[in-house]
Amino acid sequence: MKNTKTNTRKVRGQIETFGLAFIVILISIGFFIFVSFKSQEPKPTPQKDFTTDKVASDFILAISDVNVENCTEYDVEDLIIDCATRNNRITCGTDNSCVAVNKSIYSMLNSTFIKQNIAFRFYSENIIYNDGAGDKELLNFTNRNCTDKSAQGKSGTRIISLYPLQNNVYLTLNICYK
Amino acid sequence: MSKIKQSKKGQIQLGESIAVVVIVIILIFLGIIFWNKNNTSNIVELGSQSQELSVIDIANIVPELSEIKCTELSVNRVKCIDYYKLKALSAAINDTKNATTFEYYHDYFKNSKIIITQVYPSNTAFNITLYDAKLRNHTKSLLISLPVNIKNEVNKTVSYGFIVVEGYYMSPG
Repeated sequence: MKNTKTNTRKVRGQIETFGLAFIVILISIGFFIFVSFKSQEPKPTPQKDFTTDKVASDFILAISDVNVENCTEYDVEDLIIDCATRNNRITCGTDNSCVAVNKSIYSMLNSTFIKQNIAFRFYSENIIYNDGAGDKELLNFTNRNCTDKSAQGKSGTRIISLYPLQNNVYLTLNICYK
Repeated sequence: MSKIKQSKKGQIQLGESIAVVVIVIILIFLGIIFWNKNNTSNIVELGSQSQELSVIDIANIVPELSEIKCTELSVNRVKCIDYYKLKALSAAINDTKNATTFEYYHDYFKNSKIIITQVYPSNTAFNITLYDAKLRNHTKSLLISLPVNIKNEVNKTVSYGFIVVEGYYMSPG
C-alpha cells in the first residue's frame, strides 16, 4: 500500500518536472522564432525609398517644359506633339523634331540616372517614328538591364494630349531596385 | 529508516526545484542581454533613419520656398525655380557682412549644403550654392538630388537641373 503511494508520488513528480521543462523549452523556441522573424523584417530605408519614388515623378514632370538645345523657342512637349502627329514642322539645327526630342531626353536621363548608376526604364507610347528600318516607338531607354519584369519602385507617368487628334502620348519612367 | 528516505527524497526535490529556478534565471538573464543588444542597435538605426528623414525634409522644403519659386500670373509653378530669385537669395544667404539671412535659414536647413545645378542645355550649365553650413568634423553625410526646372525670366527659357542637398551629421551611438 505504502509502495504504491510512493510510486504514484514519484511518477507525479517526474511528470511535473517534465511539464516544467517542456514549458521552458516551448518559451525558448517561441522567443527564438520571434527574434528570427523580427531580424528578417526589411529595414526601412527612407532615403532610398524617397529617391526612387520621388525622382521618377519629378523627372517626368520636369522634362516636358524644358526648352530644347538648338531650338530654344520650343520645349520638349512641343517636339513630342510635332513628332507624334507626324507634322515634322519643327527642326532643331539639322535634326527633325523626333531626333531632337530623342537626343534631349537621353541627355537629361544621362545626367540624372546613368551618371548616378541608377537602373531605370523610360519609354513612350503612341510616338511612332520611322528610322528607315521601319516604324517603331520613338523613346525606349533602359539602364542596368531594368525591364518590366525587374523589381520596381514607383513609376512616373506624364500624359500629353494630341488634341484635336484622339490619341494621347504617354511618357513613363520606372526605376528598378538593383 | 523511512524518515531518512523521506528526507533524502525531500533533498532531491529541493535540488530539482533549485536547478529549475537557476535555469529559468539564466534564461531570463540571457533574454535581457539579448533584448538590450537588440534595442541598442535599434536606437542606432532609428538615429540614422531620423538623419535620412531630416535630409528628405530639407529636400522637400527647398523647391517649395516662395522666395525662389517660379510664378506665372501670380500662380506658383510646380517644381520650378526662378534663376534670378535664386541668385538673389543665394547672395543674401552667403553675405559674409550680414549673417541675419543665413541665421534665419539655418533654422530650416541646419548643417547641410544646398546646391542648384543646371545640366541641360549643357552650353549654359552652372552651379549655384544656395546654402552652405558644412559640419567641420562630420562623420557622415547624406545626399539627395531632385530634378527641377530652372526658369530664366529674361530669356524666357526653362532649363533642367537638380537640387542637391547634402546633410552632415555626427554618427549616432
